This record gives sequence, structure tokens and C-alpha cells, in this order.
Amino acid sequence: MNLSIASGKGGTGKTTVSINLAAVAQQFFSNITLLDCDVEAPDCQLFLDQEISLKSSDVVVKTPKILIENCSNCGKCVKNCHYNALAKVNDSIIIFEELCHSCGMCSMVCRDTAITKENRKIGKIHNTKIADKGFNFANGDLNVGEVLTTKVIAQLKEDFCDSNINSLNIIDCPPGTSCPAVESFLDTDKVILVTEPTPFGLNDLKLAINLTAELKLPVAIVINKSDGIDTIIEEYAKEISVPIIGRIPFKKDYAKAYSAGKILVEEFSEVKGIFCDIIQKIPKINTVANISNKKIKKQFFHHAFTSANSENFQEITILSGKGGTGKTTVTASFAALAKNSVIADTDVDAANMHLMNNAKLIEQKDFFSGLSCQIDQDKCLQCGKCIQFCQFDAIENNNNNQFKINNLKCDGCGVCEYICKSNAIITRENLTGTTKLSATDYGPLIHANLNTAEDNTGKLVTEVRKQATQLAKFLQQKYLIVDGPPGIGCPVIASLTNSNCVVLVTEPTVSGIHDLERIIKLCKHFELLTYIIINKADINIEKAIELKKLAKIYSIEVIAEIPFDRNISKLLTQGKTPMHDKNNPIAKVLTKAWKTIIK
Amino acid sequence: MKIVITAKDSYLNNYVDTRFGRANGFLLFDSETKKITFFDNEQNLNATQGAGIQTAQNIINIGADVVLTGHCGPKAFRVLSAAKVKVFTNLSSTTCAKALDDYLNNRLKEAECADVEGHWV
Repeated sequence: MNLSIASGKGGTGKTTVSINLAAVAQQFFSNITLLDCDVEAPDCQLFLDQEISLKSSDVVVKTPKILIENCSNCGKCVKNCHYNALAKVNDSIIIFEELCHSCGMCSMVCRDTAITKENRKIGKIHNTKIADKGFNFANGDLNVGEVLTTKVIAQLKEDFCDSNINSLNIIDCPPGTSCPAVESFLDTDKVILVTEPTPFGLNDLKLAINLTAELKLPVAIVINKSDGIDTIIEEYAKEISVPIIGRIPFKKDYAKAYSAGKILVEEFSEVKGIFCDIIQKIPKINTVANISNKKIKKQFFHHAFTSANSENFQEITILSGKGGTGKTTVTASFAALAKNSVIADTDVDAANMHLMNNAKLIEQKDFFSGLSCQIDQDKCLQCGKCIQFCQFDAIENNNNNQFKINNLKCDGCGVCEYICKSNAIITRENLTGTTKLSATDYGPLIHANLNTAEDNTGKLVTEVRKQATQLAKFLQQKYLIVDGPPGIGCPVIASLTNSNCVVLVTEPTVSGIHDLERIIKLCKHFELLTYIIINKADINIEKAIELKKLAKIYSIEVIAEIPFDRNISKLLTQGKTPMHDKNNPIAKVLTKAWKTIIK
Repeated sequence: MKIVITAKDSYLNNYVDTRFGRANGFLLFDSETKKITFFDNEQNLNATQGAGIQTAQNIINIGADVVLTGHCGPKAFRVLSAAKVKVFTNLSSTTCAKALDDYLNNRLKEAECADVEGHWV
């Protein structure tokens, strides 16, 4: 059985649930495999002592090769490549293999038969037996600079998912709801979504639930950092008829053990009980989430504020290497302190700033990007050519003998449109999301939603920043505060452009340190003024010292150390920031930090 | 000779856009006609991937001989150098006008290779 563990965004405890389930599963299943499908930022291995490496193999894709003697240098391949992977310079064609999606378009359009295909390695997959814990572990590595994340995930699953009925394959999915997450969900039998009982947790859960509903997968919920009642999640779960099959209590001891890279079921017997219970409930996960297709009312922005007035504002971007470190809390607190700012939430995969500060939606606008294809049934002759040439298996012949394009699988390469003799394929710009303007207690907020399974977040981030900048100029606000997306990929770079200063929010855990260094390097690369805030600084003193050492190496000032405080999550549950209570020690720490930033 | 400067907008007195592939646009200076033209780079600013390559391709297509920019990654550099376009990097806190002036008076040093890593990490 394939069991996917997922969440709408990172930092909710997905990896924790996956590893702990694997560690207790041997009592119930004969063969257990844990697959870390987060191939861009694999971190399961940080919690496992890998002993015996059984097998390592390459992930291979087909890439074009130009036969110079045949090439007439017409440039057709360059014009037709949707991925910008080819360039025509003087009398030759240059191929950038790492950008190639192996769609086959170039060889198809080449009239000189000058393009052949050859194998190219894009990553590796590893398989390890975790002897002391009794399960197999497999993970993938995408080579630096490669983009075909989904190929590595597909290979990982093909090689290591054991189809035996008594086997359990636990798939630790990548965060978000875009292509890599969809790939991890394919051929899965059941899904467990990990969430937290906060408005943020709920927001991200809804995104993930929508994806499971679209793919018609049976789903259940596990609540991390449970307060025992979890009203907010309970109500939603009831509404969509999805069972809650486990709750992991919110305890400082657990956070401490996690920060040291320990496995909870080995440290705490009560946690072991919780996970054994979850495992036994897995066979009962049979229902698909019941989502009524509510149509979103469309409103449009009136670009009243395009006349630029002042250029004089300071742009501050808040980032963290991974999700769940308290980035949004810090951003909301700074907005409260700034008083005259525009807030931009550029975490478009899982926007949640609007859940704080009493946000009220004022306007929204559709966002188009990328291409999607549709088949005109009146023109389609069902010749089957498109099915034959689509490298992504995105075209299906459904029961009514109608050809349909599955947009979840479609990569937008355009091969079908090219190959179709009856012009039945219509390509058009995709409706990929919505940008929104809301009013909050602390100033206007620009945020956005990316539709389920859509990519190109970088572009939407750029759009959010553009609108926020225009608004800040128009209103002559002093600050533009940007809540950045997690990670270090393209959306993060898009959120950094034009920033005056960057604040990195981190926590003293093994993964926190690992991710901080990567993001510091990125900030240094862009020569940005950078500060660090350590959240939950007191849960692991040793790791906190390590973080400070790291900051020193890169000469970055640590401007705040926020203590662990359970009351914060209570405030967050009510959509409030720590600033609501001026005497709160966290409010004091953050006020001081803010003064350092604006001085 | 045609000189291209990556720019934030059409004003010669504004700062050089330090990004190459995802620059807002570029200013083209033709040393024969002394004319300056602004090219929008919206399409590549929003590209999912390969923005540097496409921007380099466009710059080659308009027949540029020289590029003045902030940073240039390995892929864009490969395309530009294959077309024998001279690249000058590190112009991060200068105006386009100053960059152009510095180039015309031989005060800049030609880049021998890409000065930054690719961003797709």
C-alpha cells in the first residue's frame, strides 16, 4: 500500500509524522519503506543514522543532441522550445540540457533530421536499510541546477514502492500543491495530511484537501501541536467529512527532541501509543473529501494607483530557509510596529498573512500565466497522434471516446498542438491564480492565491510585489514589508528583488541550521543588508549557539532571540500578533529588533 | 557599434538593473546614430525558466556588440560569448549614463567569465 504524508506547506510536521510512522509500522506490516520525495530539500536523513547503503542509481532522461553535419541552422527548434533551453548563435545551436523537459518538440520540428536523443543523468536515488529501526529508506537527489524534480520522484516511486499487499510504502511528499506534490500523489492509495490547529494550519490544509479531492484520493487528517480540542480543524473536517485519525500534543519536550534530530516514538512512550493508533486506523481511510465546487466571485482591480508619487520607502523582506519558523508572525508584528506600511504576502503557494490583523478583502483580480491546452471536440478526429507524442501522459481517451487533456499532468510543451493535423488543440493562457487587495488593522495588504497544481509561482510573486510597490508609492507609505516564500528557489529570488534589507527568521533545530546557511549564501550573493532573528531560541541552547556562530562567520547581526511561548500560538489562533500585548516579552524583543532595522 | 545596458526603465540617469536575464528592460545605444532605444523585457522577466538565455538571444538578435550589466550568469554568458558579444559586469551602483560613459572612455574591464552562479539551485 502506498501512503502519502503531505501538507499544504512546509514546517507542519510532515517529516516527523512520516519517520515516526515508519518507526512503529513494523508491528503491523511485513515490509516498510520510507520514501523521501522532497528531492529539492531532502531532510529525512537528518533523523536517521544510515548504516548499510544497498543501492544507488542514476535518474536518466532523454535530451536532444545536434548532429552538426545535418543542421542547416534554421532556428526552428529554438523558436518552438517552450522552455528556453535552446539558443541560436551565429552558425550554431546551443543546448542547455538542464532546462530541457524532454518533450521531443525540437526533434519533431527539425526538417533536417539533425536532432537525436541521448541519455543524460539528472540526479541519483539511494536506498538504505535502517537496520535498528527495521525499515527501508529511499531518497532522491536532484543535481544542482536541474529542473525535472518530477522525474526523480517518479523514478524513486517506481523503484522502491513495493506492491505487495502486506507492504507499507510511506511517501514523505514535498510541500505545496504544485507539480512535485502532484507527482508524489500519483498511484498513491491513501493520503494523510498533517496540519496544526491555527488559522494558518487550516488555510494550508484546505489547499492540500483541494488537491486530494481533485485527484479523488481517500484522505485523513493528523493534527500536530494539538491543544486537545482543535476546534478550528474539527469544524472543517466535519464539513468535508474527513476523519481526524491522530493528534500529537503541543509540548516543549517534543520540540526539544525534534530540534536534536531525535525520533519521538523512541523517546516518549505516549507518542508511540499515538502513532500505533494512527497505523491501525490507516485501513479505514476510505473517503474522498467532499468539496462543493463553489465558484469564486470575480472582481477586478481598478488600477487607480498607477501614478507614482514617492520613491521614498524602505523595502524589508522577511525570509526563512524553511516553512514554519515564525516568518509570518514576525512580518505581522513588524507591520504593527511600522504603522504606515504596505504589506505584501509573497508566499503565494500558501498565503496566510490575510488570516491576521482582521484582513478584509477589497478587490481581487485574475492572474494568467503559462499555457494550457484544450481539445476542440468538434475538430478532433481521434487519430491518436497527440497521445502517442505526449511525453507527459497528459492526454486521455475517456469512455465516451473523447480525447481530453489532463491539466494536472500537462507540462505546456505544445507538442500536441504542433502534431495535430486538424488544428483541434487550442492553447491559451492559463488562469493560474488571483491577486488580492485587503485592508488590515496595520495597513493595506497585497496577497495572492495560486490555484491547485499550478506552477510559475515566481511570476505571481513578481506580480504581487509590483502591485504592492505601486500601492506604497501611491499612498506614500514609509515601508513595504514583504513576507517571503519558504525555500531558496525562484519565488524567493523574485521576492528579494529591490529589497533594502532582509530579515531571516530561523529556529535552533538541525534543519533550521541546515536551511539558514543556504539562504544566507543567497542574500550574500545579492549583496543585501541582512539580519537574523532566532525564534524559539531557548528550546535548544546548543543549536542556538551554533546559529550565532554561523551568523558571525557571515558577519550578520542577530537582532532578536524570541523565547518559546505557548501563548503565541493562542494569539495566532485568534488572528492576533504578539504586539497586541505591549508588555509581552516577545513584543519587547521584536520592538527592539524593528528599531535596529529602521535606524 | 551597438551597446546594451540592462536598465530599470527608459531613463538613462536611473541605475543599472543588476539582474541580466530578469532585468526590467534594456537601453540600446547606437554609437553611429547616437540614438538611444529602450526595449521592454517583460516576457523574460516572467519566464518560468531560461530568462538569461532568452534575454541574451534577444540582445544578439538586435545586433549588440557590447553588454553592460550588474551580474551575468553562466548560461547567458555562454550565449553572449558564443556570439562574440563583449560583457562588462559589476556595474551595481552606477547610473546607466555613467556606465556608458565609463565604457566609451575605456574605464571598464571586460568580464572573462560569468561572475555569478546560475540561480536554479
